[in-house]
Amino acid sequence: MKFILLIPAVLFSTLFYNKSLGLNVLLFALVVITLLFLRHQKKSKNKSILLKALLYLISSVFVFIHHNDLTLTATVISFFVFVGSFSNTKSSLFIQFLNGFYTTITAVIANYFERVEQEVVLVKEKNTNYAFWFKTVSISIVVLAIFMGLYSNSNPVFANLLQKIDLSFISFNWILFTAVAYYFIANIVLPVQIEPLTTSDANTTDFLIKIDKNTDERTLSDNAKLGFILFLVLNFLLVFVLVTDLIYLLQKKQLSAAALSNQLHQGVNALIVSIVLAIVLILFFFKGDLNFYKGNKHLKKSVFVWLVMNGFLAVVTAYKNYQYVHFFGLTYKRIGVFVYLILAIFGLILTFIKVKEVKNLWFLVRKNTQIAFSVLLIAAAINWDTFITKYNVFNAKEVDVTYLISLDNNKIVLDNVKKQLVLTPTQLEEISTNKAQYQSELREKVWQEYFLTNFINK
Amino acid sequence: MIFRIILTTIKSALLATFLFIALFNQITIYDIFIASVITFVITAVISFFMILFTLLPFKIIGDYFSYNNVQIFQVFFPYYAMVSFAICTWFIVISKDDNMVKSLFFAAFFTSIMAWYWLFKKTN
Repeated sequence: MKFILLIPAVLFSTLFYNKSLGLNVLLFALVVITLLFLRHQKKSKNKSILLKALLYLISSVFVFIHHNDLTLTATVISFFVFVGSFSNTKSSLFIQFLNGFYTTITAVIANYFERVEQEVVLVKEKNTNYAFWFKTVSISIVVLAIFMGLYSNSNPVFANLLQKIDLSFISFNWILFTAVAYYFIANIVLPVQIEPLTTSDANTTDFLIKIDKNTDERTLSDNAKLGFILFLVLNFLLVFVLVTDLIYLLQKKQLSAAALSNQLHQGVNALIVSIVLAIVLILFFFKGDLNFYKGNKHLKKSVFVWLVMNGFLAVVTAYKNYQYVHFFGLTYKRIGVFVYLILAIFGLILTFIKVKEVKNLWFLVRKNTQIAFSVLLIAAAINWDTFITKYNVFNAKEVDVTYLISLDNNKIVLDNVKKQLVLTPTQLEEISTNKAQYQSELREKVWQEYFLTNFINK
Repeated sequence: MIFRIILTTIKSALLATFLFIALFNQITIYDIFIASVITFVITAVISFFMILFTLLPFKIIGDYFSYNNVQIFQVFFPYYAMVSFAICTWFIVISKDDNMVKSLFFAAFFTSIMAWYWLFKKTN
């Protein structure tokens, strides 16, 4: 096995040594998936692992289609999740991520300690006859070289073929790079898990368990009343904020960029504080016996109203962001606000479920990480630079051309739509130069660095 | 324990020196001896303090809870390794391809995890 792992290590070096990212990420994903499926044939039939493999493959396809930081982040995270799913198939997504990360960086060392703990005698290692293998490989190479020399002298076609083999890429640095690749590949085929975190996670359900602490009925009743009054007051306050916000929004007036930006940032800040406060308060009140107290109905209702109104606050903030985008176009920050609002709405829905169905904090963490991972993968599917360019050129009332020029993956698209824009001669020249430079960079790429554009433009 | 710390310091310094010189790869063959000696002395000092301040606390905490070396390793090492990897990768990324910084933090990561191995390997 140790020698077989040299093949993917050499492949890794061939794909990544002194290369930028592109097709190599996709090919490496295929190598990793094949290697792990061959190494763990029984586990590879597990549906959870198959799904993680598919997600890893899809995210690496995104790198090939439009490489940017987001697609790379999605690929790295899905790689760790995929590797970690072999450690324990029943673990939560974020535990699989941690296990995958841990496996990739140190599994070889961690395995040594696990075997010591299990009192497995390291006979296998001791039986590996390194001297024999060194002797065998050395003699084989020398004999092979002698015979190749002999045959090439007698056979010109064979000699010609040998001359075409180019091994000039092998350098000291390449060997070091391959050694590091070997280390990481040796790690990922030996899945390890973080203990006691993994076992604890696997043994924890999503539901709160009633612990008979014999809490006084009166204490529970007082806590329920306190919570109800607190959320009632907060609800009134939030109604007031929302009504004034709506009145302000319904006043149809053209706002300046600064005013829109200001009200949006205030809205987002208020929403962040409100949601964090809501979840902290809810977790505080619903952490124990109050969940099972029969007289908690009013408290639950006031919490549900509070959650719904926070959701409404998120919708109002989304509308403000939409207005901002409608007038001044999309930017990464404005997209970030939409992503945050989507995550916030999901967070509120999950908190609602947590309270209604008596779930625990672990449930919130598990589901929120799953949603964040899904949103990341969906976001990675979109070439945002191109999307922003097209949206701003065709929909925004005012276009910030300097911002569009500063983006990376839109050089060809921006050149194609430049007739729709009012541009200065300098900007026109910059767009043309950027496109030419981008095309030249594409042409200079070696096969490992290819993007989909390389194949389309051929 | 003191002997083990000294031994781990020497091993760590040797490994860090080898990795740094090999990866940095900008030292001529004539200067390699002097460069190795200087690097060894510097990395020995760094390794000693690294062991003292980042590994020994785990040993003390482990002893407090009556953990053996393997248990200390299993409970604390995963988080140490992940944090160490994250910090070193972060420095490598922000170094913007500076060969010296890359070599330094690459060597630092491998030395830090091997130091765990040497310090906590089967003594029980």
